[in-house]
Amino acid sequence: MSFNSLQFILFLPVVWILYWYVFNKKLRLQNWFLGAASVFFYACWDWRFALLLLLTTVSSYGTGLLIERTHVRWRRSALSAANIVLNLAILGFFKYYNFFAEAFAEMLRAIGLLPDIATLQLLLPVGISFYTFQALSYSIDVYRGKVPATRRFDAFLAYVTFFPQLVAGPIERATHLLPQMLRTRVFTYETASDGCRQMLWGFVKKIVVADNCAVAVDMIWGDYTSMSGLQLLVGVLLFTIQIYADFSGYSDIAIGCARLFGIELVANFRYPYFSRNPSEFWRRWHVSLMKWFRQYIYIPLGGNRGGLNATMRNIMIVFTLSGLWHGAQWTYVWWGIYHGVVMCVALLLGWNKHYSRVIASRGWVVRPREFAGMLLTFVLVAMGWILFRSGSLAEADNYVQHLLGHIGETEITVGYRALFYSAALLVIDWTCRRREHVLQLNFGGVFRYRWCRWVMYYGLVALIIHELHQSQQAFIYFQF
Amino acid sequence: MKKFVKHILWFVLPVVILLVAGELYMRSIPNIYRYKDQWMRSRASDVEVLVLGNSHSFDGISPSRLSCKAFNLAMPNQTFEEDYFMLTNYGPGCDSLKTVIVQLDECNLVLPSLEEMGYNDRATYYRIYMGYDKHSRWSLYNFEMSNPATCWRKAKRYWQAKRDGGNDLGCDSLGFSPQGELQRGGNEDAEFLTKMWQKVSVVKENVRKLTKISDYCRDHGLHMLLITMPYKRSYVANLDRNMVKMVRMVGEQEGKKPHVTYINFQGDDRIADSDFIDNSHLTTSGAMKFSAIIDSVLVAD
Repeated sequence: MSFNSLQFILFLPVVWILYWYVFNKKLRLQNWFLGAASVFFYACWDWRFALLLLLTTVSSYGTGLLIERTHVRWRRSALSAANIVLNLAILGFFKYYNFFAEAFAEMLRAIGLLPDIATLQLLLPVGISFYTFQALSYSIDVYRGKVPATRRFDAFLAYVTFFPQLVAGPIERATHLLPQMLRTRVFTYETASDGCRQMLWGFVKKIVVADNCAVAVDMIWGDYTSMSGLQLLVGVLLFTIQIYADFSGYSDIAIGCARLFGIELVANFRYPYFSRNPSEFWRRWHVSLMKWFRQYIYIPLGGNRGGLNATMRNIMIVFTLSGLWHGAQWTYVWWGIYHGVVMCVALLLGWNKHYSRVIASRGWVVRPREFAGMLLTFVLVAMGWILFRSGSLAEADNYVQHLLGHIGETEITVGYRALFYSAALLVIDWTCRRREHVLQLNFGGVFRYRWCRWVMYYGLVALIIHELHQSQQAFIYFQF
Repeated sequence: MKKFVKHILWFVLPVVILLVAGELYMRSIPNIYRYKDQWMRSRASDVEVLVLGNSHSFDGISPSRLSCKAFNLAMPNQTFEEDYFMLTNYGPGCDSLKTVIVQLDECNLVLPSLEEMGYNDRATYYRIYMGYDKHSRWSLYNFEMSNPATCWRKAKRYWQAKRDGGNDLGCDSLGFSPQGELQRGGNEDAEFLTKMWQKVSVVKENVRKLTKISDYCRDHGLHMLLITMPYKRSYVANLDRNMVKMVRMVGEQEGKKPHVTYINFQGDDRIADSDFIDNSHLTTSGAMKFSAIIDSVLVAD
């Protein structure tokens, strides 16, 4: 059941009413209900997927309890390792079996052998990478003593399966979400209405911007050999906006939806395209995943404590793994490697200043140096998306070759509408870059009048309905 | 919480009312999909010939010019997939059915599904008015209002037709759509088709769907008249040679089957360039001429 489906429009109010009006008497009951509703939400794709989800939940829950019961260090390590292996084995089997089988066969062929390695027709469970990482974070945190193991399965089930963030994040850590499942949730008008506004903006990003971009991008990528250089450049730009609007739109819907249930999720996007260097970009793009990698891979590897070479090695490992996390395809791996290299070069050049605030946080004037940094970061990120979008390395190579070979051709036939929406999104994002989300209103100016706010909301709803015919596009990140 | 629920209801209610009212209104507008569905459900038992295909057949074959009882089930942009659906959906109710006219040309051989071409509105009509269950009952294909822009255009066309006192349905009583005599030009489609022709997988898939139609006809003892509709000569000259050859080859391959007759009307001298309103659609008089040719073929068979 996708957020942009009819089922969800019916599912959400029913679950919300039952959650606050029927199951609100006891926290346990409310958690069980939330868990059951979330499993149902997930089973709507395929009921067999729900079994996998439950297996992951039960194994991490059990591991947590077992780890806490034993005080022998090697036993704790073994239990934690066993849970990691089990979860990664499930993930690896469903997501990477064919990839590695084909890569292995290719390797054997290269040395003159004729291997007979079967690939399997496996269905990839939706969002498996997201909930596997979330469940893993719990057992690792219990092992490290950062969070006590919970005995409350109702709360743990609700934590792993919580439907707004189940299939595409944000990837929550037990230290943040689990305590919320263990205490009584309180409904507040302000939080819920802000959640609705955030959802509304998420739908605008997804249906109006991302889906329009998707149509143009598909046309451009599907026929790039007959397009002009400028058109291909527009294709890259539109995909850059598409993936941002699609994924951050999903995150906005998820976070807003969670607020309706009195639950706060971590922010996943913080206006990443206004980053002044690659390092800042990765602190603003898919924040929850990058935090996960930082906590569970980068820091255990030594982080930046072992000198420049060790730091660069760790960066390369993290980004390669992050590429592989996105999918079983070489283009994703190379996309990860590309960003690893960009990060290393930036590190060598000293272009990695840590900014705690968004660009021009106090005013409208941007310093030329920061503006140049922002522009260069945007270009570097956009170039990376060519790898991400292409079906193969050869396609990415051909696309770039064709773009460079026809750079003088300036005919644009596809994507005007998408360009308009993309530009509008960037302008609005820029204007609202100090807010958590665009529709986080401070009720000042004209928006202190309810009718003004409602006119804006109705305008956005009308825009969504107007663009709805293309909304049957799935969210890009569901495949991960 | 009461305040929140109240505000949500106040906000959502007008949107829901507008959408429901819009949907009801759009469904009340006469349309060819519902008309053809109702016609086939109530009067199909004595139909002897069914015409399938896209707009080329829809505008090109008039059942009233055929000497046997026939009905035109072709629709704009209809692909082999919908052709097959029509046949399996309405075929069993056609007790007297003897011949199915199936169109095979560059368009329905190289173009992908309605959804892939972006004709979501047409896919919606098949779902709503003909019961084609390709999309689930939960999908947006169940609602005309899921294509607001198309709804607006459709409503405007309807109001205009009402004001001018013209035919607001879009086809005659036997499913044929007369296009008048006004000629238009253009050869953009040739470029478009040539681009689409590169997608081998789509062609393969379409051949597979055509074979399914042919198999259905064989299994039900029906004669399949497979025709390649006439195009303007200049247009045929613009088409990719290999694509034209492929159409002929697929047609001839099917034509080898005992229950199939294949005729290619491209370049047929009996149809002149002046019989077309554009590159591939016949004028009303051109359609009448072509229907008479088809009738002679049916009579000879």
